[in-house]
Amino acid sequence: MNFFKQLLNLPTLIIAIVALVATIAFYIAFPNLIGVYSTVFLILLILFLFLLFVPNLIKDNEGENKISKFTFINKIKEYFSNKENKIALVRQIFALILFFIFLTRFFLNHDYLESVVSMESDILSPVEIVFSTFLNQWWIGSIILILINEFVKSEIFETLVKFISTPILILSFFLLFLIIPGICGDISLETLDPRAYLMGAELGISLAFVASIWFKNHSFKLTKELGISLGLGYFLLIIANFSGYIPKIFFGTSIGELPLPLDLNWTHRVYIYILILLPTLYFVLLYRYDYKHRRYFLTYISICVLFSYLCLRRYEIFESPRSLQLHLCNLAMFIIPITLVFKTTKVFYFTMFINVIGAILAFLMPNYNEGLGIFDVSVIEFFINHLYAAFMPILIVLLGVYERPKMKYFIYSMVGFLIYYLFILVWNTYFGTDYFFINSNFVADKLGDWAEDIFNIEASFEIFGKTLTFHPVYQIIFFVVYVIFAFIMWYVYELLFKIVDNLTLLVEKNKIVKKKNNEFILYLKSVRGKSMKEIRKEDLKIDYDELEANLKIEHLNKRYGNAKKAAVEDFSLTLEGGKIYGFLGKNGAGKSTIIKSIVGMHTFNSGKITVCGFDINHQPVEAKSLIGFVPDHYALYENLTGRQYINYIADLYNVSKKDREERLKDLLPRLELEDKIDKQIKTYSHGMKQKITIIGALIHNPKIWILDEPMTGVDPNSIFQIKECMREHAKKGNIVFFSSHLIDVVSNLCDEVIMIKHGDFILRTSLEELKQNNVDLEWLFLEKTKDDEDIKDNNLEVKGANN
Amino acid sequence: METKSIKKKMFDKDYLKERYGFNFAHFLTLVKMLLQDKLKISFKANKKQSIIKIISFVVGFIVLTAASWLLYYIVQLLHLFSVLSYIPLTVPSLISTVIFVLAFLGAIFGLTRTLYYSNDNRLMITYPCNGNTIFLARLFVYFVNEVIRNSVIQIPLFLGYMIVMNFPLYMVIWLIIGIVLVTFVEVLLASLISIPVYYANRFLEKFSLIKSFISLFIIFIIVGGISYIVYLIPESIDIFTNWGPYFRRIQAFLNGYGTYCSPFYFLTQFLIGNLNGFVVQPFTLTTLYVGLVLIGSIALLFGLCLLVVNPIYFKLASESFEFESDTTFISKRVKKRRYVNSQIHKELLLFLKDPNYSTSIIGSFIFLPIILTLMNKLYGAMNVNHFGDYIVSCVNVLVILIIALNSNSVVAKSYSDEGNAFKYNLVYPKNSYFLLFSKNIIPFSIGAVSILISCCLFGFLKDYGAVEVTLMFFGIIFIYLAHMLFASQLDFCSITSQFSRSSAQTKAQRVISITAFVIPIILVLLFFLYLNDNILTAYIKLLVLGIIIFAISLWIYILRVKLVYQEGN
Repeated sequence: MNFFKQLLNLPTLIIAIVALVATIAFYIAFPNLIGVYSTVFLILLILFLFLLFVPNLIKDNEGENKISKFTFINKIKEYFSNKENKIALVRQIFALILFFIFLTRFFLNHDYLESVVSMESDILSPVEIVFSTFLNQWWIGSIILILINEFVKSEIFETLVKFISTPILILSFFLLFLIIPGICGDISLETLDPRAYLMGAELGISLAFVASIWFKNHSFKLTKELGISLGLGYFLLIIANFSGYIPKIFFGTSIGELPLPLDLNWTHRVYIYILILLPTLYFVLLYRYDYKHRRYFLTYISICVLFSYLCLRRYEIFESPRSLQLHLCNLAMFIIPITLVFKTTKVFYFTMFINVIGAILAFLMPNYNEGLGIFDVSVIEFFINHLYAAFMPILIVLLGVYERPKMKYFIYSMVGFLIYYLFILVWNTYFGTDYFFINSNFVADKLGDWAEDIFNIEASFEIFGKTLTFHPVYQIIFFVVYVIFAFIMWYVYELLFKIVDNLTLLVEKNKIVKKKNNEFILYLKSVRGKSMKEIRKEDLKIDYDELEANLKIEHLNKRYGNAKKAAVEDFSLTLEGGKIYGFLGKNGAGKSTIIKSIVGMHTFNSGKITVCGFDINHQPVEAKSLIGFVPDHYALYENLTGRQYINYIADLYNVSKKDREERLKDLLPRLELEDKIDKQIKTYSHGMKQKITIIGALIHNPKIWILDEPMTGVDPNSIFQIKECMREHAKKGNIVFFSSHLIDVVSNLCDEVIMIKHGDFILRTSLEELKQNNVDLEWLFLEKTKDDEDIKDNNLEVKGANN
Repeated sequence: METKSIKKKMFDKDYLKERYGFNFAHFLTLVKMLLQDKLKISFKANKKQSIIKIISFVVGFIVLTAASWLLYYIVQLLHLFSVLSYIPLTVPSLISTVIFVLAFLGAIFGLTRTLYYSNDNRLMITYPCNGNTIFLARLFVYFVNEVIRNSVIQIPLFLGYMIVMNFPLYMVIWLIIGIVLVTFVEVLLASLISIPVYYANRFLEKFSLIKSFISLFIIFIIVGGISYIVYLIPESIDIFTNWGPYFRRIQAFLNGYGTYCSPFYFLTQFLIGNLNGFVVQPFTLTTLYVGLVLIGSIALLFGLCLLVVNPIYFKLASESFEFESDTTFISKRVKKRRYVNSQIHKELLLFLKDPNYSTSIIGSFIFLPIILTLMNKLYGAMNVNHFGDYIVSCVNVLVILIIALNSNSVVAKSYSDEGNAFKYNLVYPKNSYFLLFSKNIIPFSIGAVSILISCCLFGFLKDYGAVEVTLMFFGIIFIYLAHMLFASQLDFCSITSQFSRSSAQTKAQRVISITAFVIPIILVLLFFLYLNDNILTAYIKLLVLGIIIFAISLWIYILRVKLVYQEGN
């Protein structure tokens, strides 16, 4: 009862009434199509009700099954013990029935539209031709969408069925009197083509599916993601469902000059451009989806394109050995959707290694007859076939549906190719066909006399009264050369994969960076309560000299590449101005990593570093302008003079002429570089180079002066001068933060010392405290940085990491 | 007393042993180490790379042999050097002589760089080996490298000729032996000449003004020479009608070569045998005489090397690292510049003070318009049809693109050459984009001017309108700039240490060198197809292609600066 109550809601009733009225109206208008409309209506009604009623018929007996001795049977039982799976199975069976009916109808005979040229028809007006042409194509696309939807659990595909198949099918229902003539021809004849009834059945089943989906979920709401997928769906519907006879219908066949093979004139080039542009477009559109949806969309494209390719080929392809689709590129059209549906690895890589080259060569040397217009059906069909056979396998691998090819797949492919080759060789020889052009001189003719001479070496023998002629030398060489070519092409594919992988990696990284930037902007707006424009204006007015020196590191994490252990793990530190901080740790403790993270030389995985309130990641220019850095290895332009170098650095930090003159006047005599400043840096000694680096780091009077082992390799006089500079700079209220291995220097110079070990903070203390407690810094360092002991030191007050 | 002690020292057994002694084990170790570094073939370290390298050699050898065969086959078909299907021995001899001379000149400078300026000399000097062993190891490694290079180039060139003229193929084995002997002479002679070259270089380093004058003078001579050749080209060249006189001139030239450059001609006979009419004489008296001369020369030169070069090798090798104090620069005092001006000023200073870098860039682009003028003067003197016209246009575009794009191989190591100074660019409070791109401004400016002049010359000589020339210029400029951005980001995203490479190309340079040929060839093939449609639209399409390539390159460049360079790892 509940079910019927659910069924008898207003929208359903309205739809049912409209359908009934429409059907009756069409009965009257098109009496010849009574049978077809009846078929549609009956099937729609029965199947719709059945699909709705099925959940009530099926029991859920999960966990009740008897265990069999066969694992696969147990798996099947377990799968179908679930009610949802049973319902899905029923729907899938009907979907396959739908597809079977469609296949039967499709292969039964050719479409009437094939005979229409330049919009001229005896039975349809030009407007009707347009509707009939496109609706017939989109009808196929809609059925395939329904078919795929029933086999995948995907909100996206359900949306596509709802918003693409539904309007197409409803429109088809109302315009059935146009669509059927496009396939079957004149419907005014006494006996209607049986395909019309099959189309009626297709429409009825499709509408039933669509109606059942809407019944379950009648929301019209679309999220942004679903909206984008819908746009993609419509795009694919139009592009992938494009039979070869469509251009001829609109433009005729006499337009344009068909290019001769290898001519590469402009019309031929247009097709080659499409070969480059279309897969690029597909890649860009499908890249945003996960693996399974990429596979579903590719399946959809490949099945639609298969039917577009088959526009000229119906029942007759099964009639004789000559009409079978055994050419490699023809086979590819069937293989590709099969490998996407059933995930058959060996078959897929066969098509990738073997079909693609053949398709590309065919593209460059088309072998259709001369004297045809560029919109001739055979021309369009030729290009559709070779276009998709060329790029689809590569696109499938690029999108990750199949993994990058390995040697074992290449070997399988060559074995497969050998089997195919031998089969075709025998088939061609026996039936007189020329699949893959190995039994004729088609290829030899293009190569020249020498190839013809090789081809003419024959070997014949009789079997069952039939003379079989082979061209053994030519055919063996053909096979070997093709294999070598396939191997070489693999290298080209690898190059393409590498380029695309690098690009996609960049794009992914870019998305992450943009997201982080947006998050920071939101955070900044929330903290400062203003728009970004106002914040930027405010920041431009800041006088950096007035800022208080402050460095804050919060939960810094840094891992290099895929290293197991992080170089720095959850490191936090706050430094205030007016002090000299010593940074101690063993080699490899993470000191340089932390310093480089502060100065912006590399990024870090997580955490935050702020310099006088400016975030080093998101406000790098502001933050870096407050830092002066002296690296462990001086980094100078040795061809410049000292003065040229200092001027350049000062220009980078926008130091006024007056300030740099003053500072140079102060620093040059102090560091004893007055007579060397105008000589090339490459003539300086090590100590002098260190001193010029120091001047470069101080020329802009930074709030935070960071030095990474500045005393290394420097004479005592220079060490003294550097120490004096550091004391003076700290006295001005700035931060001096330096790492060193010279414990004596640190203990005499610093106000506070920070120790780290294996990337972790271990200790922060003031030298004053150490002196008061009679603790030797060297002893403390050695104790604290030992690897196998926790020091219990009750006499020391240790400042915690978060102070 | 002092003289006596010196004399005593010279004949002291220990001293002689120390100075001229030879330790084979050390020699072998050094050779292995240096060879591995030079050839980059090590099955232990990198099997795949080594296999690829060997396969590349083999493929290159085959391709060059095929090209050589094709060249001689066509020459034979066209009866360029004889009324019969015959190519005299003087032809391959002339080609190989030119290559040998160029190789010899390259060996002089290469050996000077390797022996005295190599970065790893700093370490090798400190090894516990005597100087003799180190010197011989270096020389041997260079010799091996030269043998490989000569083999890969000379043998295919000879092989093509030998196949066409039906030489016995067992002579290839003799040819290899011959090449080895000739290379011996080349390397030993080059090592002797390297000493005066070294001193000349030191002198010129000290007095850079003289160096600049000499460079300008050489450029002037070359430009003048080519201009004179251009002047000599007649207004109309009709080879087919006037073939007789041209043929006689060619014959006279070849005979002259055989007479006045007879040592090289005899050397060719030694290498591949003599061609008497159509009869090949593999081994003649000339072979014996030349062989004896070669062996004698090797012995003499080797002795001279040991006595002359070896003793002063250590001194020269260590001297090159001593930087003498330069003369005081007259520098302007403190000057403030805007950031953009300051950055460009710094790059200009670095450009001018690095002669290797500036010479490569300036040299390429000075010769570009000259080569184009020479080429177009030749073409202009020929009576060509439409197809010929298209070919001429394509060749011009090809030459401009190849030269312009090849100049980017210097750009592909320009950041690495800055060393640590480049690494610390990330510390400065400036946007990375301009900081990085500023390095390209000067080479691009020079290139753009040269390309503009070349395009204008081409347009003038071919009588094209301003529209075609403008379209051509911008099309080429976009492609050039796109390639330059590509070269830059290959370098700054993967900096290579100056110390780890000697004179070998970096990976980025190799990629740029290859693309500098591949890209122009593909584009010119397309351009040729477009010309067949319509000339004006062909140039428009070239421009459109250039813009597309530039847009893609720029997008990738921006992403790599933002996501790879700024990561700093």
